[in-house]
Amino acid sequence: MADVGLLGVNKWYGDFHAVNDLNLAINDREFMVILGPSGSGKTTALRMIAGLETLDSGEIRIGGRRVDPLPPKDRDIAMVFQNYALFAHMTVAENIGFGLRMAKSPEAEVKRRVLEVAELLGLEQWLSARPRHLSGGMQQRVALGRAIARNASLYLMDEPLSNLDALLRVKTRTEIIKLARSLQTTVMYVTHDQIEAMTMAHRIAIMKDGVLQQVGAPLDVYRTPHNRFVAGFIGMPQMNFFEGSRLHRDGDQLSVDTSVFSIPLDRRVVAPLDMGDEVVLGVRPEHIRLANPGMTPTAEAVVDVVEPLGAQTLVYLSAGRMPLSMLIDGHIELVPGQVVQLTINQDSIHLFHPGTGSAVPTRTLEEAVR
Amino acid sequence: MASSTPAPARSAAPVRNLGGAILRGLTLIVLLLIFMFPFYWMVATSVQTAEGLFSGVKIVPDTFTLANYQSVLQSDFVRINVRNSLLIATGTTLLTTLLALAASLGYLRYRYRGRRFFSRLVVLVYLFPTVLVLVPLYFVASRLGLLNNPFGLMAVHSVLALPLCLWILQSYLEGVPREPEEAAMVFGASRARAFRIATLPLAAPGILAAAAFAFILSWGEFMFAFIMGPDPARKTVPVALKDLFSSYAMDWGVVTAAGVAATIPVLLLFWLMAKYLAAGLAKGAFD
Ligand SMILES: Nc1ncnc2c1ncn2[C@@H]1O[C@H](COP(=O)(O)OP(=O)(O)OP(=O)(O)O)[C@@H](O)[C@H]1O
Ligand SMILES: [Mg+2]
Repeated sequence: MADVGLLGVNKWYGDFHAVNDLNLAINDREFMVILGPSGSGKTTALRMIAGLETLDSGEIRIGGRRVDPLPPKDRDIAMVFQNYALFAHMTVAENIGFGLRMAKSPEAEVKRRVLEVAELLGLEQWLSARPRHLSGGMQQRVALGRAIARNASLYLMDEPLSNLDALLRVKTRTEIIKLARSLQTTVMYVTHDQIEAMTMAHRIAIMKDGVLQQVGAPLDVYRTPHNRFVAGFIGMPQMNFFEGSRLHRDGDQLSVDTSVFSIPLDRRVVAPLDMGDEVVLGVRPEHIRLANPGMTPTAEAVVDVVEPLGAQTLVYLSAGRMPLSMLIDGHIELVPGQVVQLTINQDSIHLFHPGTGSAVPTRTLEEAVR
Repeated sequence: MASSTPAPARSAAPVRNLGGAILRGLTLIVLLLIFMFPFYWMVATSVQTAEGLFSGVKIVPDTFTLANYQSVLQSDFVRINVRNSLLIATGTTLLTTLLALAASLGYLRYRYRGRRFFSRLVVLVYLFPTVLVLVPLYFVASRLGLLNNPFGLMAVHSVLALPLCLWILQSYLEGVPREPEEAAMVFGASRARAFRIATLPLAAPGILAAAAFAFILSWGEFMFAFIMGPDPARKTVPVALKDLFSSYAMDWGVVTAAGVAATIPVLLLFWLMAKYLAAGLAKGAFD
């Protein structure tokens, strides 16, 4: 139970800047997910917090205490490793009780706690087994058990589910959430799986190339991505991007024009841009709809591929030469080659600077006046 | 006939494999015979009586006695030379293994400039014939008063064994996963303790292989032992064996019995650690 602060943390591997001026504050009892593609520096950041990697500059605080000069054992943390990192020559019980024994807890207390944890994780029958005789899922539970047996002030987890099969992953995901809530503890959880991030996190910290891109609650990050990278990384299927779009004004009517369609921007101002400037238009597949008869459609497109997902249908289309994808509820009969009319709600669009990729803040007139 | 009607590839393959297996087996047997023959000859000679020895050369001994072994056991050979060798080889093994372990961990656990360069440089030592350092080492040892001193020979043998031991250990430890050690550190162990708890049990085969190599090298090393220990009370097994050869009234039975006795510790070591040696050396060889 503690808050965590990273202040201007940097890590270099030779000439490679693995973590670049990372500033991040995690609240007490918060479940913070660090999300990012492979090589973005997530593990490096976590390992620096654990004390397994030195900092080149910056400061790390846990519970108000500066920990970056301390060895791992003095940081009061527990960690779940990606490949479990169990002690192969110890039994499951010895693995779970390891942290407590290191802390010189009385043997009776260790035994009691090991049993308690084993019951919680359904490991009672396996207590005297060696880890290698257990399945991957079971081993992961032992690794979890080793972490929670000890009352650490911070729990670090580095892709703990990535070695499990899909079904087990979903199940264990739920278990970890329940566990974290019941333990009332601070968790930093690293993953490159955005579904894990969206479902587990209080807040998500998104990283790319060692640089923190955005921190926020899952839905906030989904609704208002700060840049094109975050917009594309959060959300499945990925957001559609229309390059080379332009802002356009015709009398009082503001619009954003792609090469084949135009979306009117009533009641909207686009703060730092001039008319005629190039922007990248972003629209999530779930925000594109089939136009009802009688409605003025936004665009016309040709169906390329239809992927029924069961509850939803994913449709790949071409508008002119621009590919786009659309996610619609239910099952809809569409055939490749068919021409369809689409509508895009102007409230659901995103605009990005073509060069920097940062989001262009679009505010409604009402908001601007206020 | 056979060549005019080519057999289908499917049925030919296993036959060719069988032929290959037989060939490989035969080659191994021939090689083993060549390598093992001197040893066999030594054992066979050591159990012959004096009369048997002088009545001509034979592959299978026609007399049998343990008298040669008895005289070896009662001679200074076991009391002095085997004892010297055991002491020096054990000391060398401990010293070399500890140094190699410390050095490989330094290489694997810390990042610093020139890390790779120095690690490679160490093995380069073997490019130079050891005779080159014989004379300088003799002078150094004599100035330091390390002639006729078991610690002097231990130091020299450690120098000889260290590069390969280092290489064996480094390759082996590189293959041992690091995370359990890191987990131990996170869960409350110091760096040294984490190594002992989490890595040492997994690294045991590599450590034993390196240790066995150091022991065998020291046990069999002749040149430096000869130069650095001229005092009869300080002679090691190989030096004593050489003395037995050059004595004017050479007794073949006793010499070969001593030879067998000198081989026994090494054989015993191999037999006890065959499992670990294979694992430890293979890791290094195929890296
Ligand atoms: N010990 C090291 N020496 C050199 N480069 C390293 C070292 N450790 C990591 N890196 C580099 O730093 C970058 C960030 O690595 P890191 O493991 O933190 O990424 P990650 O976000 O955890 O990725 P993944 O999702 O693949 O685990 C990578 O490009 C990696 O190659
Ligand atoms: Mg990682």
